[in-house]
Amino acid sequence: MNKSGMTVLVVDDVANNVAIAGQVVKRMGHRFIEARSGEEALEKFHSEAPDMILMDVMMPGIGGLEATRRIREAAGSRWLPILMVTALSREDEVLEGLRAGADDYLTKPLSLPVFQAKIQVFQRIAELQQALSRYSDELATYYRQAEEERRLGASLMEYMVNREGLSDSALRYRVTPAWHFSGDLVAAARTPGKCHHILLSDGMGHGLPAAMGSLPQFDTFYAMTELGYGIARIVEVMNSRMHTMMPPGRFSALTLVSVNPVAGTIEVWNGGNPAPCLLDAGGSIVRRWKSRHLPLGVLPPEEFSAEPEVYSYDGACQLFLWSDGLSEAENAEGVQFGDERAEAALRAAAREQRFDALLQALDAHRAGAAADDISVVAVEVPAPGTLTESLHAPRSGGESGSDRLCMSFHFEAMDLKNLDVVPTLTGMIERIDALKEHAGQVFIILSELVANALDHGLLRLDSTLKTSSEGFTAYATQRQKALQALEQGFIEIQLEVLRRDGRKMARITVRDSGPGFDWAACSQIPDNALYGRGIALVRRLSHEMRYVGTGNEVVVYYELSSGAGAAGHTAPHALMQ
Amino acid sequence: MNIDTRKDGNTARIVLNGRFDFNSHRLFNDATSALLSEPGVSELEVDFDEVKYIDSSAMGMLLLLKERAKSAAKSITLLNCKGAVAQVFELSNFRRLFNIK
Repeated sequence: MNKSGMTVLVVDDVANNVAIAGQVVKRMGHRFIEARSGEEALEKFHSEAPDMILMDVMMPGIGGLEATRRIREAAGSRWLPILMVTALSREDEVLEGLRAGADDYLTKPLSLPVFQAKIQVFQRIAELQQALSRYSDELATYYRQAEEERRLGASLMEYMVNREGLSDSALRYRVTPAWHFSGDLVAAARTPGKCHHILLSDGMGHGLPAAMGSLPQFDTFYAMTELGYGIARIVEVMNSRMHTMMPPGRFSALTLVSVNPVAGTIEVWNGGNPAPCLLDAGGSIVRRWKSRHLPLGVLPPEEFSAEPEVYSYDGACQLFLWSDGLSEAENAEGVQFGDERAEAALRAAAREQRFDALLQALDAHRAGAAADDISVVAVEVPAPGTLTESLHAPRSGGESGSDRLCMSFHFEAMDLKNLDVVPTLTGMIERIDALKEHAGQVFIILSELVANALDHGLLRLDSTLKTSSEGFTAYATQRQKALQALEQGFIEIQLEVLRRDGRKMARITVRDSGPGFDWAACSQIPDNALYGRGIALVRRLSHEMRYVGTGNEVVVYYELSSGAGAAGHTAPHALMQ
Repeated sequence: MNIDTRKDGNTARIVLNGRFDFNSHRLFNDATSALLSEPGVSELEVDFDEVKYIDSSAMGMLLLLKERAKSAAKSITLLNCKGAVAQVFELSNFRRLFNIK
């Protein structure tokens, strides 16, 4: 319906009245339809869906009042103005009409200017009504969208938070969100050396923004723990990521714990969370770690202190962590739960019941819904030395990173077209402690092996083209063309750090789906030749290099031990030339 | 990779910055060709101070440059080679082929 496009139904048993009212309606540019009885009015209401009705009260049959009542009922929530026309200006009749569902009334004889004015009024209201219902639709759509996004976000968070590290039998936890998302985050994982790492983070605010602020920390925590880093390095990296990624003023309180059951030590870094406490078997609190640092993301890397506090424990004990939502949970009188109450609940309970006892005490105290996110974590700390069978237990701190590492990559034709494989891998190598000193050498090895696999294994190019500058350009053009046309094939790269003959080595394996090539010929190429130099170079750089099968797979061992990165250890080969 | 060229009298310095590999071919060729065709320039220095990564096609380009310089009667010197770059030149016997400082 547009401004001049209302359909007006005029209901009257007197033909003359209908004709006069119809004239007004049509003059105003609206569509006019008529009904001569209450029954017909009902029919027209259903068949014509009028935008406004002028209804005479006194009619034979069901009459105007009853017709109004039924139309109003049938119209439901749809807004349909009904204007009653009464013969007399009697108060009770007017009231009865309005009660039957009319919106306004006119008296007979009909004043045409008043009728005209009322049509305009109802048109204005109709337009308002329409705008309102449009907004309401938009709002509903927006709400549905927001709900959808929230569900997606929640399942994503759920996926990220619920990793297997949290199903560790030594761990119990509960996170009670104040809102759909919790800004509190609990994560746990074990290093290859069996140090148990636990993270409790309390992002500023609640809901999605707080949860989002925690996500970058979270991935860092899992990735670095998996590689065997100590918590000092982890918290340092987390802080620097937080500091660069999040807008100023956004930060998270964080507690990071490392339990080393081999050495019998617990390391804690606490920035802004309530003090975790350690209970011995008898229920005495033997240690608290008060916050000694600023929350994560506040300080720039150069001012940040990643130093954890180390505690050596004797027998099996239990460690409890909680966010400030627990300390500050209020009861009906506004009294906070407080750390003292929490500790008292823990001390009073039997060893096995401590976690439940703390939650029960909290729930009993709390008035109802959580005003803040509340997280509680309990960690079983085994007696020192219980895990001595573990061979790769790093020393307390574990700063040197892992001795073992294995990464595999599979690149399909599509990836090879669009991705500069070697620089991409190099960016990663630079971040791995065991490899970063050797990044330049590993880059060459990877470059040569991948170039061979791609250029010759998959693209079947002839490297003897590269004997002149023009040839170089021709080769580049051919390579580009062949690469664009490539539809099938793959290259697999495996990069491992391992010990071999007591020495730390990188093993680099590159395999392609091509038929292989005559690698024996490569060793015959002179130093100043313009092609075939790559493989000879890799051979000299590496500790060992060999082809497997038809030559579509090559394995290189590169020594990572100290000093190996310098020219020294490979120099004898060079002298032999 | 970025290439910056500076001239000082009859010496031209080609300063490389970044990753010197197959993809640098055109850039390197353009920069060196321009200098090789300049009569006033008799010495070319290639500065590796800002090069961390190099591959064998880069070495191919250096060998090509050496040949072209020879026919243009100009000399080539490789400067500031260190880390993996120095090691690679060492292993490839580039010392026998180039003047390395």
